[in-house]
Amino acid sequence: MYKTRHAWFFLTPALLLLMAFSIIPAFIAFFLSFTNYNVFQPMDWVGLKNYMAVLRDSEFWNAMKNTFYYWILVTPALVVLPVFLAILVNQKLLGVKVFRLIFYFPVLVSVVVTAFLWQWMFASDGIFNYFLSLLGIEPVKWLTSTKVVMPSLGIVTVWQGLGYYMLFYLAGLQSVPSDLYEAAELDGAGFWRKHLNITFPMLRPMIFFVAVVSTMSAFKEFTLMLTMTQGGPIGASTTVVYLVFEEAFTSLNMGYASAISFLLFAVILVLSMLNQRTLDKE
Amino acid sequence: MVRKSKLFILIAALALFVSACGGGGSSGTGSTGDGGGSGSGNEQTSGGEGNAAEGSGGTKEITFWTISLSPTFDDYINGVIADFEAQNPGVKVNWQDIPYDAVEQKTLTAAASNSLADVMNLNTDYLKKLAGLGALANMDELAGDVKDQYFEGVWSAGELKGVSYAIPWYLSNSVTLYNKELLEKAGFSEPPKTEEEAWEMSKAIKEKTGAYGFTTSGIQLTFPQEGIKVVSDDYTKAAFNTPEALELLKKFKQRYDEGLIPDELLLGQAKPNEWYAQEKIAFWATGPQLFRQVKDLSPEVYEKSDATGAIMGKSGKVNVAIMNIAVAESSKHKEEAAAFAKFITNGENQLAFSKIVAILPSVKSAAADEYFTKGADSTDPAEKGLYLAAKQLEYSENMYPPVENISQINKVLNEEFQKVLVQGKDPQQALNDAEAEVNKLLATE
Amino acid sequence: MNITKPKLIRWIISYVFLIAMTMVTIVPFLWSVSTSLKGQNEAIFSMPPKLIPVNLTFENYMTVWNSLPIPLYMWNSVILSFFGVLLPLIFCSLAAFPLARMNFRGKQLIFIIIIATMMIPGEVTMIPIYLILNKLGLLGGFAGVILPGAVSAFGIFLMRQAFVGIPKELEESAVIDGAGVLRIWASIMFPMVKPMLATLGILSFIGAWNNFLWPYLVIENEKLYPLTIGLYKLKGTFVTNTRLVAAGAMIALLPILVVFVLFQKYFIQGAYSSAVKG
Repeated sequence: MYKTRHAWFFLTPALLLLMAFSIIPAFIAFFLSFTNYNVFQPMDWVGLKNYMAVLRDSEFWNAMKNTFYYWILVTPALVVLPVFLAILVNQKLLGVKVFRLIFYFPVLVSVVVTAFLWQWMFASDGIFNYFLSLLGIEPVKWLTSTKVVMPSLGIVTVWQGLGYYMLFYLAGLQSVPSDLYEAAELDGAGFWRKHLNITFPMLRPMIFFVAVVSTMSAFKEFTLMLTMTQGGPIGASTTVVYLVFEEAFTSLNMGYASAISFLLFAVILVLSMLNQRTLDKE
Repeated sequence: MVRKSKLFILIAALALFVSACGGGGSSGTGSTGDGGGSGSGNEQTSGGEGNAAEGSGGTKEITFWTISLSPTFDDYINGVIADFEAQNPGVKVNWQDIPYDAVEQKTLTAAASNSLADVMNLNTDYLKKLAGLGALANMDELAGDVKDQYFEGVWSAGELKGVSYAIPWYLSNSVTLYNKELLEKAGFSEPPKTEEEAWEMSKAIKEKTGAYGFTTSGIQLTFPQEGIKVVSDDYTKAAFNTPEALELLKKFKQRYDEGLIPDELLLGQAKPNEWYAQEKIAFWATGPQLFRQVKDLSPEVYEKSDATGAIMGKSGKVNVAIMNIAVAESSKHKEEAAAFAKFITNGENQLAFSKIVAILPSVKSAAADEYFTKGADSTDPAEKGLYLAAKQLEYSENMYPPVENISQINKVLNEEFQKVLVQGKDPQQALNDAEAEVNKLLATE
Repeated sequence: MNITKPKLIRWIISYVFLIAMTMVTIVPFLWSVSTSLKGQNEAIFSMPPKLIPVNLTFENYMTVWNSLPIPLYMWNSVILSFFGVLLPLIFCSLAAFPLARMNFRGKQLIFIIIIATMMIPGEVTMIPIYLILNKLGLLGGFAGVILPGAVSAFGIFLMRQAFVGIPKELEESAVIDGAGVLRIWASIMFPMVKPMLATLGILSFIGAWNNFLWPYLVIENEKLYPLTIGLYKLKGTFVTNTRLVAAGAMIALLPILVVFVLFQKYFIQGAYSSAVKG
C-alpha cells in the first residue's frame, strides 16, 4: 500500500542531516585511521600501520577485556530490571507520578555529582562498608581493588540507567491494550503469567531497543571512569573509549585513536547483529 | 526509481566526503602561509575568533586564550589588555576564556580549522606536546631579551630539548598544610621538615589517632625530589633504573605494608583536599592558593591548621607548577603576540595579579615585593603559606624532564609504582619494565 | 472497587519496592540541595554527615544569580532546547515511519547505516563535524549547535521501535477509508506513538539543556551562551566554591523538572486504548 517514493519522502530530511553530521564525519574518521593525523602537522597515509600497532598494543587488549566485562555486568541488568520498575510505576497507585519522577532523578544528576556521591559511598569507611560491618563482613575495596572496581562502576551505571530505560518501557507499556490484561485476569492468570504472556511479547521492540542502546553505551562508556577512577587502579577500569579519548586529546594521535574506534566499531556491529538475530523478529 | 535514489545518495555522499576530506586535509597542515588562510578561505570571522581576523584601517588583531579565569578576574585581565592597547596603538587584543574542561577540545578544533589563538595560556604538559608538534613559536627568538628577568628553574618549564616555547606566567610551588591537633595527639609540637621525618611521624599519627599522616599519590615527583633522574641528559633514554630508585621503591613498599599509605589516595580514587577536610590525613602538600578549599569544605578543620614549608627530599629542591604563555607558530602577528606575552607576564602585571589571588609570580622583581613577606607571622594558613612559598622560590624548579611525552612517562612510572605497592610486584622488575616502556616513549619523539 | 486480599498484598509489596528505590535514588539530590543551602561557615564534610543545614540560607542562590546574567543565559538555553526538542521529534518520527512500516529496497541497509553511526565514539568524529560546520559557514551562532543535533540515529531507532509495535489492523482500516500516506502518518500513527514521542522529547530536552561542549566550541559571542557554559564559570582555576556550584546545578535542574512534569501526562495517557475506544 506504500510506494517507494513515499519512503524517500519521509526519509530524506533526516538522511541529509545524518549525512552531514554523522555519516560523513564517520567516513572522515575512518579515512583518518589510515593516516598519522595529529591535527597540527601535515598528515601522511600510513596504510594499516595504525591498525597493526593497535592490535599489538597490550593496553588495547586490556581495555577491550575491561569493556567486555563492563558490558556483561551492566547490559543484562539494564535490559531486565527496568521492565519491572516500569510495571511497578505503571500501576494505578497513590503518588505514583511522584515516584516516577523520583526514579528518573539519577538521570538528571551530572556525572561529576554522581562520581562524588559514589566515591563517598564506596570509601573504605563509607556507607557500604559500614553496612557490611554490621553484618560482620570484612570491608570491600570497592574502587581500589583491580578486581572489584568494574563491578562497583557497574553498580553506578545500573543505578543511573534504571530510571532512564524505565522511561522507554513505560512508554511501551502505554501501547499495551488494557483489555488484554483484563481478559487474562478473568482467566485467572497471576502476576508472572500475565506479564510473561502479555507484557514481554508486547514490549519486544522496546526490549530489542534497550538491548542495542545499552550495549552501545556500555561499549562507549568512559566519562564515568574518567571522573571516578581515571581508568585505574592500574588500568583496571580503562575502557576502549577511555583509551580513544586519551590518544585523541592528550597524546594527540588522532589517526591511532580513529583506528581503535573502528576496531571497537567492528565489535559492536557484530554484537548488534547477534542481538538482532535473537531479539528482533521484524 | 529505487535504483536512482540509491545512486543519488551514493554520489552525494562521495561528493561531500571528498570535499570535506579536502577541507580536513589542508587545514590539517596548520598552514603558516599568510595568504588569508588556505584551507579556510570561507571561514567566518565573527567575534574575534581566529587569527585571520584583520580589522579595518590596518589594526592588527590578536586573540588571547586563558583557562578558567573569567569572570573572577575579568577586571584584571581587561585592565592589562587596555594598558597594552594604549601602549601599542594599532594592536587589538581579543580575550577569550576557556573552561578547564574544554581546553583540549577547543585547542584541537581550533587548530584543525586554522583558528588557533595567537597567545595561549597552557599548562606545562600540554605545552610540551604542542611544542613537539611544531605548533608553538620559538620564544628564544621572540622573547630571548627578557629571559633574564624570570627565575631560571621556572623559565625552563617552557623548554623542549633546549629550545624555549613559552614564557612562564603564574606559578605555585607546594607548601604543606597540616592539622595541629592531630600532630599534638600523636605527641608532636613541630611539623616535619624532610620526607623521612614525615613518614616517621605518620607511623605515630596512625597509631595514636587512626588518621593517616603524610601520603603519596605517585612517584613521578618523588624521584627527582630524591635526586633520581627520570630521563638521561640527552633525553634519549630512561635514567631511573638505579640502586637508589630500587631502595626508594622498597622503602615505599614497606610503608605501604605498614598501612601508612591509603589505597584511595595512592590510586587517585579520593581527593586529598576532601580527606584533609575530613581529618583523614594530617598533611596536605599543595599550593597555598588552594588552602582555602579546606576552609570551604570544613571551616573547623581549617581553624586547626597551620602552614609549613615543603617537605623536602634529598635533592633539596621543590617542584613548581607553572602556567605558561605561548605564541602560536601559525600566528600572523607573532611580533605583536610576543609583545603581549611579555607584557602580561612582566613584573608589574604579575605582581598585581598575585595580589588578587595567592599565586606566585615567575618574575624575580615581582617576587621580591614586600607583599610576599607580610604573611610571615600570619595565623591564617593561606597567608603564611604564601610567604613560605615565595621564600622557597630560590630552590624551586620545574622538575619534569623537558620531553614531549612527559605525561605518558609519568603514567608509566606511576602504574609500575602502584603495582609494586598494591600487587606486590618485584621492585626491580617494575623498574625494568618501566625503563623499557619509557625508552619506547622517548624513541618515538 | 472492593479490596481483596491479594490486591492488598500487591499494594504493600509495590510500596515497599517504590520506597526502597526512592531511598536509593534521592540521596544525591538531597546532598546537592543541602550543600546549596549551607552557609559559608558550615562544613560540607562533617562527621557524621549533616544533611539538614544548621544555618539555612539562600545566599548561594543570590550570589549565583547576581554574578551571572542568568535570565539571558536561560533564554538562550530555552531557544536552543526548543529547537533541540522540536526538530528531532519531527525528523526522527518522519524517518522512522517508513523504516518501521514500509517495504522498499535498501531499507535494511539504511537502517544498518543509521544504527552504525551510533557505534562510533564521538571523540573521533568531533573534529570532522567541526570542520564540516566550518565549511558550511555555520560556526558562530545557534545554527551550528542546533543542526548537528536536529536528527539523531538514536531518535530514529527509538521511534522505529515504537511504530513497529502498532497493530496492523489500524493502518489497514485507514487505507480502506482511503486515507493518504501523510494522513495515515499524522492521524493514525502519530497519536499511537505519543508516549514514545514524549520520551524522546524529554530526552532531547535534557540533552540540549545540558549540552556544554558543542555550544562552547561553536558559539563565539558570549551573549549567546547557554546556561551550562555560564555555570562552568563558577568553577574557576583558583576559586571553586562547592556551594555555589551546587546552587547553580539546582538552578539549571529546575526547568528540567518542570518539563518532565509537563511531559509526564503523555506517559500515563494510554494512547492505544483511547484510539480504539474513543
